[in-house]
Amino acid sequence: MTTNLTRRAFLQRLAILGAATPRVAPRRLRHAARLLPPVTVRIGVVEATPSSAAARARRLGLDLGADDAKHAAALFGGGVTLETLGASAIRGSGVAAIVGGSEPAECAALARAAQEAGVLYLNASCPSDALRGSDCRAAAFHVAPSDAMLRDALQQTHAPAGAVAVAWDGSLERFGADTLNARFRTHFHTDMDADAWGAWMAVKVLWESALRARAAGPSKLAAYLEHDTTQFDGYKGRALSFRSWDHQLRQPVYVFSSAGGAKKLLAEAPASPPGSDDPTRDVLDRLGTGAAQSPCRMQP
Amino acid sequence: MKRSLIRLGALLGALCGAWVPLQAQAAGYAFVSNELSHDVSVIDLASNKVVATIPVGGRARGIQVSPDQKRIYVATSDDKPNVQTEGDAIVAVDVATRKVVAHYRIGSDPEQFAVTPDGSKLYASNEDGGTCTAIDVRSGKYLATMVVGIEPEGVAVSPDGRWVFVTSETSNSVSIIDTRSNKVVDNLLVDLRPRAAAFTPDASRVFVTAEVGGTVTVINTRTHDIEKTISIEHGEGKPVGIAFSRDGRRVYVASGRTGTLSVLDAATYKTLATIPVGKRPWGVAITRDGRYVYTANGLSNDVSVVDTSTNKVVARIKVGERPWGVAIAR
Repeated sequence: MTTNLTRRAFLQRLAILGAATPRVAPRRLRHAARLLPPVTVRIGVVEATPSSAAARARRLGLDLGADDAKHAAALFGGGVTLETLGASAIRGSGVAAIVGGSEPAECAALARAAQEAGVLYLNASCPSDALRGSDCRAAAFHVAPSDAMLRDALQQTHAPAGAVAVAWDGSLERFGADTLNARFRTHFHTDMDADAWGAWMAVKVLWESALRARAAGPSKLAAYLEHDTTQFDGYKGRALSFRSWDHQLRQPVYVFSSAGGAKKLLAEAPASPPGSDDPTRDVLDRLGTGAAQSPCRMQP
Repeated sequence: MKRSLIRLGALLGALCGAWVPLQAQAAGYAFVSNELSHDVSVIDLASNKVVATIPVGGRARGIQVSPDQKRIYVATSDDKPNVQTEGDAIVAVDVATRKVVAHYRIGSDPEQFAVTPDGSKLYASNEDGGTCTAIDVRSGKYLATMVVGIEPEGVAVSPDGRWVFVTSETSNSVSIIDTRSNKVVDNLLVDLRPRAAAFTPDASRVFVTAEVGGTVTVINTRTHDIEKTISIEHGEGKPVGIAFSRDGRRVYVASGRTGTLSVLDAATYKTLATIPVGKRPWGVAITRDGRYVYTANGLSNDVSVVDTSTNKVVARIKVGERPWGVAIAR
């Protein structure tokens, strides 16, 4: 029987571990990143089966993310480090966040381990609704879209039988996706898939948060990720942000005609008619579980 | 007899002069880069008609007029990332003859670039390489490569030629280059997915559009402080192209995904008007007299012409495929 730490208890643990009270850079962006001491975010890579296709794809995404962070570090200092860890070695490792996992049970275990170790878990691949719902953790931030979001995408786009909804595909072109896909292909001679994008985005989220929040420790990073003005670019044309009630990254998803072979992009969800004025977050919240319906309780 | 012939000649000459049509004094030309049809459309501003289409041999994006108004430069690139090939170049077109007169090698995948005010140098962003490359345009000689952010795009040069600002879309950064040393002297963090940069005519500030952030960042050029972050369409705009009126009082911002042109007061930062134009307007340019703004609309394959005194669209002109940028030569 697991104990679900409340958000307050989680933050208290982080404070005990030496992190300062979270303060977040306001929306009016500070230029002063260049004048501050460089911040290096330590990221632990925890995979039960590192040789699986998904874990290997995640590794490539992490490596590209780390490469991008290194390039940004040439401008601003700091950067990220990736270190491979066993699940039992997370506590005391000094990492600020861990990434890994494909199977629901594995991801649930990583979320729990992160929570107990006082670090963050960036979920790059697991879509399970329970992980964001009844089994939610304050330490977990879900870059991968949930099963509920993928179901909504298929339904809202009236997708035919056999169609799949995914977070990313190597054939995407709009909103600069072609340049990210080209960069990935040039590095690794293979296409960026949803697992690779999820891992790349996890690194990007951590590195950019560290730069803007001017901190590399888990509690300040968590506070920044939760802040209501925080948003990120993921090459999907809209600003992406984490939902306060379940830490799910709001994002467009893509509906393809099939999972492999001669697949074709059928639609992007949620659909948004041109000239529509609806705020981005409201549009993106058409996919997945809303605050009122969410069984997740992360209240202090 | 001779004197009367001379008089007759003078009279005929005067009459011919009086019959010169009013449109003969053309207002200039708008040159539109077409990314997919690999050519440049030439629009006569007096008639708002396309009078020529010039093939430029590659994916055409950034487009600028030389300070002496005699040449148009277009950045062309190919599909081979991270390696400079024949398709990667800045192509020079003579405005009068509409002929391609030069190709300049300027690193891999040039997207946008700036021409220094004395016309002597080009600074181009190398999108797939994370660099900015400078060349001497008279000799074609390579001058320097500077490391900027990830996926650099917008390039703007100060009116005195001293500073070049380069935006980088993925690192959300602006790099500041001192052209005397060709070194990056500062890097700033701005809002999400910065695209274009433009100096105010008095050089006091640089405005940078953030496409995913939905804002325009205003940078003080002396202190490098961020003075203001202006929301475009309440933060839902997708600002890309930007152009100042010559007097610096108005700034025009093209928002791709929302298909609009926002008119801002450059001093108060207030939005004065939001004008629906074509689909995916990116490039924007203003006529020398400030009377008309032209937007290159990538997904409707046309150009919108906005009358700045009424803020209304007065013409739409079909151009090539996937129009990207527009530059105006008088």
